[in-house]
Amino acid sequence: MRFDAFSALTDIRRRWPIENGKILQLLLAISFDRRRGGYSVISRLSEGVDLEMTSDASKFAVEVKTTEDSQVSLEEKDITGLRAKAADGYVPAVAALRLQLSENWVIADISNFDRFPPGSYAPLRLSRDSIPDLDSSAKRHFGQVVVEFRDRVLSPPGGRPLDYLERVLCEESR
Amino acid sequence: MSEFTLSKLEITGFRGITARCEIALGKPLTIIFGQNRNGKSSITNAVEWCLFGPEVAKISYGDIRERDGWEVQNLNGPTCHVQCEFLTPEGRILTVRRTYKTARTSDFSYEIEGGEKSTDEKKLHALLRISPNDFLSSVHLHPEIVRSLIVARPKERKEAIDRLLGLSELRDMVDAFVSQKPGDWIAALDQKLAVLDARLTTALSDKKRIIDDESMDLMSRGIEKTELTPEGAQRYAVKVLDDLRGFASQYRLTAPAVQPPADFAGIQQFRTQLPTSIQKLRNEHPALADQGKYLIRKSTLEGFRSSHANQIKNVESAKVALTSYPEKRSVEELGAEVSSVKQTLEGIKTDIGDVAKNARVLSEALTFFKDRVPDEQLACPVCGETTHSVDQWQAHIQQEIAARNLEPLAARKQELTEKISTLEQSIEAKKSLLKKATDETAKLIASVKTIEKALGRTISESDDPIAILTAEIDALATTLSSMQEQIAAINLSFSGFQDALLNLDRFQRVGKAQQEMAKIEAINENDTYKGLQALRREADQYAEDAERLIEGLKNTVNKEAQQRLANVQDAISATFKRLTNRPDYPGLEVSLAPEGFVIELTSQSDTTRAVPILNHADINCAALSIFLALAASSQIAHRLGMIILDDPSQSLDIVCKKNLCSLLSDLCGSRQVILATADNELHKFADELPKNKVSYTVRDWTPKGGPLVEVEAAAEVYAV
Repeated sequence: MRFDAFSALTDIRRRWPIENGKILQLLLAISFDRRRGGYSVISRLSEGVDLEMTSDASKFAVEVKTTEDSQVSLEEKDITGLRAKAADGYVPAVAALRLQLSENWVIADISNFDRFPPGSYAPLRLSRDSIPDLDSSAKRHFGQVVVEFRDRVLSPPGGRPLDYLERVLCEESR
Repeated sequence: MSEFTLSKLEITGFRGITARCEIALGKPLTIIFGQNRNGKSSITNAVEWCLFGPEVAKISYGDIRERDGWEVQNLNGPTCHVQCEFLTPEGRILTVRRTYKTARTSDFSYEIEGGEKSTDEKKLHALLRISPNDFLSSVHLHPEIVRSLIVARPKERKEAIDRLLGLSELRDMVDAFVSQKPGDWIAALDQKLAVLDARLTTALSDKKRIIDDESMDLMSRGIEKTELTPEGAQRYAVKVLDDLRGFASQYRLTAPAVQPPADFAGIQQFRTQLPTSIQKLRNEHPALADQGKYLIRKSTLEGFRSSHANQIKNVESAKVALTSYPEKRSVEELGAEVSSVKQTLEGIKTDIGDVAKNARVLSEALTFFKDRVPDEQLACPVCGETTHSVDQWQAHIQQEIAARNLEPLAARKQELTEKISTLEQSIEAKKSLLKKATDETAKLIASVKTIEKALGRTISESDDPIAILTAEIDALATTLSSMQEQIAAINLSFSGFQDALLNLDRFQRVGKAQQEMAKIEAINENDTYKGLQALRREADQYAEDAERLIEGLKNTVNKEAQQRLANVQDAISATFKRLTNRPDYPGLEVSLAPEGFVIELTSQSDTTRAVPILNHADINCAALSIFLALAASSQIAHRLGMIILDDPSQSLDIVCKKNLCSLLSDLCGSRQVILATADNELHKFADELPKNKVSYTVRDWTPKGGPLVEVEAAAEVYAV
């Protein structure tokens, strides 16, 4: 990713170390929203699959995973949730980001659940099953979104970054 | 038999054997009997050394203590040479020879009857499908190796059973893959990539810090954030030049000859040329020139005024010094007195000379009259005092002249000399003071002349130069004061130009840092970097493939092991039962477990781990059971149709020994058995076996002669 985006992510992580994962999830959701990626996006911060993205052509259920190490962890409950969504016609996917300058989001199709048992996965390994359209969309918009919302995430109106980003996603999805 | 069997062994100078020893082994059972340290093991070890050479001496497998510091060559023998003859499945003779050269080298050759001689050891091992390790675990049974099947560490036990099952090559392949640790390799690569990433991040952070700091400075100086770009920098440079030109035009000065930068790179040259142009404008500006001129004149006149005031003080001071001198007479008057005193002094000097002269005459006269004048006439003509002799009279007169004439004259002379000196000092002091007063006055006149020249007017004696200078200085100060506003405005403009130069420097630093950041970020798009990422992906693929392959191989090996064990399981259990006749756990079972192989005792109702409850003899029996069952089975992978048992009866009781012989008797149907033992009971039972056999006795070993090896006649007879 671009350095200004990486630098902004670093600032956000320092400011909101606990909420950082969910903030990244919402920033990714905004990257895909109707205004940018062309999807109607629902983001869940507590239960169920993290993102549901629908367009006229496709439906994705995305579990969002970020890590400062080399691997992201895919848990049993994640797989279960994605399986349920797959049964509803969604393409089950995992969005993984290693928080490094040289890394970008990898959004992998894990429809073949046999190949993805619960465990640890390097984003690079997931990239073999990446969904090129989503990958390139994330690459194109995520950095811009991070830079655009950096200041307001660091000092959010109301003091809560997650509330603020959820409002933004809601407004932009209208 | 469909495998290779050993038919003859010739040994010379190998370990305990000195002279040539030939042993015929062509029977299904060969017994080599002899007490310990008589050379039995030298005979059995000769076979493996002949086949594998120095390789076997290096093997530490199975804790074979005999191999520690193996001395291959017997120093009392003529040479060290072993020759084995095998009967091939086709009924031909395979002859293998090895001659010792050094601890690490030997001459090796083999040939099949009617074929060509070869020195390729690997070819022979391929023909026999056996390696040194396999030979030691599945053909030549040392007691230590037998026990390793039961009590050794899981890894060693696993290796031993694997070799017996013919799975060692597959296991080695799995181990080779596992030892590559592709996961570790990927982690190391990731670590290096992370280091590269961290370096890039640090470099970019440094650049960003420069950009942030400089941008903050520029914005605090009124530059818009949107202008903090290379194009903005260029626009700023053009604006600076426009301002300079406007300034020049306003004051009718020559416009700067500098050209505006064509692009961001051109700012560097523009920035270098600009200070000269600014300086030129400053030098040419009339108001600044006037100000400079007035300031210099004011400063000069102030200097004159100060200097003149000082000179007036100096003149007054010199005059005061002259008038306050204690000697009030003039230099001329003092000079006249000096002359007068000198004259007087000269008179005194003449008087002194006259007195001295008269005294000498008187003295000479007295000397003349010394012998002619009677003593009674010797009265002093000065004081009238009488003396007793002419000499005394003469001395008395000299004293009187000195006291009354010469001494007063000398005192007067001294007084006058001192007076002259004092007068002369006063003359010098007065002259000096006069000169000082004259000089200072001359300087004062010169100062007036200088002031006249500076002011361009005459100053008469009635004028006060200080007042005139003060009036002129005040006029200049008024002029300068009237210029102050205009000068301040001009200086503000020049100060602005100087600030603009510094801003251009900041723009350049921002632009340079931005360009460097772009270059660093472009590394991601660089072919080498992309290649590295591709390589990383390939490595990841390789690691995944390797993991799958390892998993697959492990499963295959384990399935194969289970299959082969299943085939011999009954035989193992039956062999154990025949050997031990245990009432509690008659059976023995070998099964596959995650850590390797588990050996358990079995009964009709129970199964338990073997090692904790077995005594030493039972452990040996269990190991022998596994070995003999596997050796007798068709699972053996190598092509040597023989087993060599070296001292297999350790700790066995007489019943077990008998049972062992019974088992060996059965084994003779499918394998050639070579049994070396020091055990009388085992020897007796083996000797009694109704098998086609040959029995040797090894005895009376001496260092120089080696053992005496004899064929036992009874066995031969039976065999016949």
